[in-house]
Amino acid sequence: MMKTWLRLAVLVLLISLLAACGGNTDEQESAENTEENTEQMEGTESTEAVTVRDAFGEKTFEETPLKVVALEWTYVEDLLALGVQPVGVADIEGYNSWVDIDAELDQDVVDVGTRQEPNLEMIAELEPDLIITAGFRHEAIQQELEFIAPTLFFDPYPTDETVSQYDEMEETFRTIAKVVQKEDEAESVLEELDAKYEEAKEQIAAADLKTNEFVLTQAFSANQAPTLRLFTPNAMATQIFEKVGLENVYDSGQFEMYGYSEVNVEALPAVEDANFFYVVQDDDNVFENQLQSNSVWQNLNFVQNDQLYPLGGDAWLFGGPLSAMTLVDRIVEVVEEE
Amino acid sequence: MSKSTTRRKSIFLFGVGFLLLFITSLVHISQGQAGYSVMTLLTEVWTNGRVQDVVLGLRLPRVVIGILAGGALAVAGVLLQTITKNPLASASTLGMNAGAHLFVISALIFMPGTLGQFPFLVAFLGAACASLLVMMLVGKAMEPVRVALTGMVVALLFSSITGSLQLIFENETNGLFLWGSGTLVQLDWSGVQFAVGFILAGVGIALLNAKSLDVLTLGEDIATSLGQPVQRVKAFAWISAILLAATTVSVVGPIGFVGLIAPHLVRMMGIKGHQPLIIHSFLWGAILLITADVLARWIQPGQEIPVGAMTALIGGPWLMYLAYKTGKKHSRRQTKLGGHTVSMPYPLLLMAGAMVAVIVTALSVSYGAGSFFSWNDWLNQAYLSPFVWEFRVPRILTAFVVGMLLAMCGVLLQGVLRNPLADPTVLGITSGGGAGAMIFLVLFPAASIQFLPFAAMIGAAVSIGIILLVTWRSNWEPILLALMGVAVSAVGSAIIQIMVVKAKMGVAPALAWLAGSTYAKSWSHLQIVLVVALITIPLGWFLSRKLDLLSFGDDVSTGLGMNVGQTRILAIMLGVAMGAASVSIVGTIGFIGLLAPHAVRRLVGVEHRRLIPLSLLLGGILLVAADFVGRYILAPKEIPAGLVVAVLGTPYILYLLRKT
Repeated sequence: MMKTWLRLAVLVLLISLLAACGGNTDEQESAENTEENTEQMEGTESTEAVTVRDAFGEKTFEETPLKVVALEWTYVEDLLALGVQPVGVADIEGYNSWVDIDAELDQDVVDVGTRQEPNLEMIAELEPDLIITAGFRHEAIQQELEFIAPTLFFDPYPTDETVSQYDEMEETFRTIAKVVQKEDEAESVLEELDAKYEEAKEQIAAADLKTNEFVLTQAFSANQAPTLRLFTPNAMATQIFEKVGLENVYDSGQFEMYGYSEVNVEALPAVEDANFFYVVQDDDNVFENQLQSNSVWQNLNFVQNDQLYPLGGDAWLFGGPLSAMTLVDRIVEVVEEE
Repeated sequence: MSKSTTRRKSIFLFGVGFLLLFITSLVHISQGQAGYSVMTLLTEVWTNGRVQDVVLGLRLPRVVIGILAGGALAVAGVLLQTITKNPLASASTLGMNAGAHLFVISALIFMPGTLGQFPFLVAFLGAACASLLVMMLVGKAMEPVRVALTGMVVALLFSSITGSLQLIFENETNGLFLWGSGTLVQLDWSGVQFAVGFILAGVGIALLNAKSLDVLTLGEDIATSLGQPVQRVKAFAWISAILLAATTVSVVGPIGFVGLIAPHLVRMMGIKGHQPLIIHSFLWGAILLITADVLARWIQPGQEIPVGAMTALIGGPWLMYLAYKTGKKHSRRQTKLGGHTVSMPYPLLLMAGAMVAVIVTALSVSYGAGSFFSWNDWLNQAYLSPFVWEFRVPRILTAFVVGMLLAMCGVLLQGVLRNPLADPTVLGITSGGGAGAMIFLVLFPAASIQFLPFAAMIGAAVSIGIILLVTWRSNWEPILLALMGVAVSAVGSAIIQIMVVKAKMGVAPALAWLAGSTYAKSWSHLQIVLVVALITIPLGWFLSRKLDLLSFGDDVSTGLGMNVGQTRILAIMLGVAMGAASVSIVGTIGFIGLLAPHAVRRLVGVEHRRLIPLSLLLGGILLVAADFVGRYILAPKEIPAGLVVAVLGTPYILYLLRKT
């Protein structure tokens, strides 16, 4: 009995192994096929073909993608800025609560699961022509995504120190625009953004602040201890602030890949003469809760002199051009309220 | 030694310790993100200003809470070690830390408005509940190894639930990772104010009971005959231990090993009698914790490395040493694997198992992207449609094979260690693999994630290598192996925690991987695990007769002409290969290796040739089912299979711990 069972088990395993090999060859073949197709298309020099570069290399699109799935919020708003409604988005609920921009997602956009582990079959069912995501999240499922549709992977946090996060944002926006054939729209959005910076610059100058220096933080509590992300010069948000005429004073002294260093209250006396701009969630307001009783916080110059500027919990400091516009609006708003 | 020289020695040591504490505290106060020089501190602390604010508002409270917490943990350790007569007892080995952590996280997620506002209270409740649970499960005997293992399993259980909550509620629990590993960060004196009363009360009760505790160490019978109210003394000691440990957990988070090391250090210095023991332990606990915090801030200035991880990093090797000593003393003990035979004929059981496997797999294959196949879909071979065939089918088959591997790994390890609680997690394979992967992620942030499995393999191999080397001279004695596993696991988790802090935002993929995920497994993954399975499972089968013999004990096996050491190391290597392969493919999925063989043993008894086939089936079924539930329950969101296994397996494991 036992021997028979063993033989059976081995047989079943062998069959599955064969199936596995078979499955893989199919995949390789289909990949080769697409490559051939690509070459053929390039040979005929279709006028429609667009070649762009993403984090993993060059990608060519023969036709304009109509159905796009975006797995990272930044690229969702990039698409919306170009007037393209994605067919699928990861974690729509989270998107709505963290990202506040003028353009809105249509009701019929499908939620395809979490940003970390999006539901591959759900994405496949939408039959997209293009998937856009961040390389650091989905490098491991590159093959799977590309099996569904051509996929663009971008890197919002360049490790190359000469590329600023802001430049990366603009470049990615332009790349997406090129692929979906909306380059004119992209330029007009960026022009609008530049005009907004100029206008904001004047408004802020007119507000006549005590100082033009600023420090920007996103704060949350680590149980009873508040943690502050102080943004460094390479951060996109810092550069937006600089574009409206404010001057960053915080530098951690080392390269911060994500554009901020996490510190506690002790780091604040060093920057206490600047204007303190902050993003904090209403239900986790560390400044009003935990820090009220802290003497270091209370005696800081910007606390004493009323130089605290809340930007609101849904000011997204990591997004695209539309988030940048929202951020500029918020800055002007809080500065003028004074 | 006469009484007066003992006393003199004690006073001398106290003086030395006090001086040490004073110096480390001063170093501690000079550290911080504000980066003031010692001169600045000395000159400006006396006048109103930033320096004074920082020292009085942040640094002094931190050092004071460190002294209080370290001392309290050490005293709790002394008490627990005395009442359980267990040199390995401490707040962390009794699961208090994990309990507190789980309660705090749950309160924050589910009742942020009400209970979330009282973290101290919630943590206190959690710690108390967890320690009560462990005590209940261990039963009256309180034998050291059993307590350590039970505490570890309870802690594992709680922390996997905590992990799943953190993953699902990513944004709500964002800042809690640090506290989850213990941190001394203080913003004002409120933590000290909260803790000081409880800790003084706890230490006070302990000191008042010191004489009675001395008598208790002579044995309960002698104590009773000397007219001691044994039950009352024990109850008071328990209460003060829980009070001390829970208070610390609630203020500074779970910090392990201080309660284990400090009392031992003091005993090694030759301090005897509970009164001096308690006082000296308090002092040395404080020194240890402050030193650990100094080291943490020295390694990574400007950022918080959890001090709990530091103490684990230092304490892990210490635990190994203790385990080595304790294990020697207890090496004659054997745990019965326990098994029943149900009257159902074996072939019928096998058939039933195979049927369930087919049904579960078919059900899982029929579900995806939010809907089930209809009968027509089955008839039209919808499972061959490209996306189902590329995404769903390989994922489910991989889950099945990995489940089989994990179960087989459990069978081998439990057979070798003669311990029904052994599984890849207990031997440190899982956390070693996790540590390897995390180190890789931090050291090579730009490297392709494809190499992650290899890093995990190396990590698992290194940790098991250490365990085997240390236990080599005892001929890989089972209980020693298990205890070394606990120690190596602790160090591995400490490394994971430190690396998570260092890696900052890049940890989201790591957390998902650590939770154990069958997400996006492809045909190539299936190929790898199949090859491993085809090599290792037959080898395990080949070893099964020898494993049967092993269960009669070393002497019998040797008498029958078997090379016990060789068999053990072969089986362990095999088990490790299976465990490491699984870890490298699906991350840290625990419990299946523990659960499947154990459940099957209750059906068919301990004979390995009957045990193995059914365990393989059950392991596969369990992981496929977990994968299905994870895909189904919150669709389109997916819950990692490892978390589903942990949550679904919880009731059974609690039951199992009670029974064995």
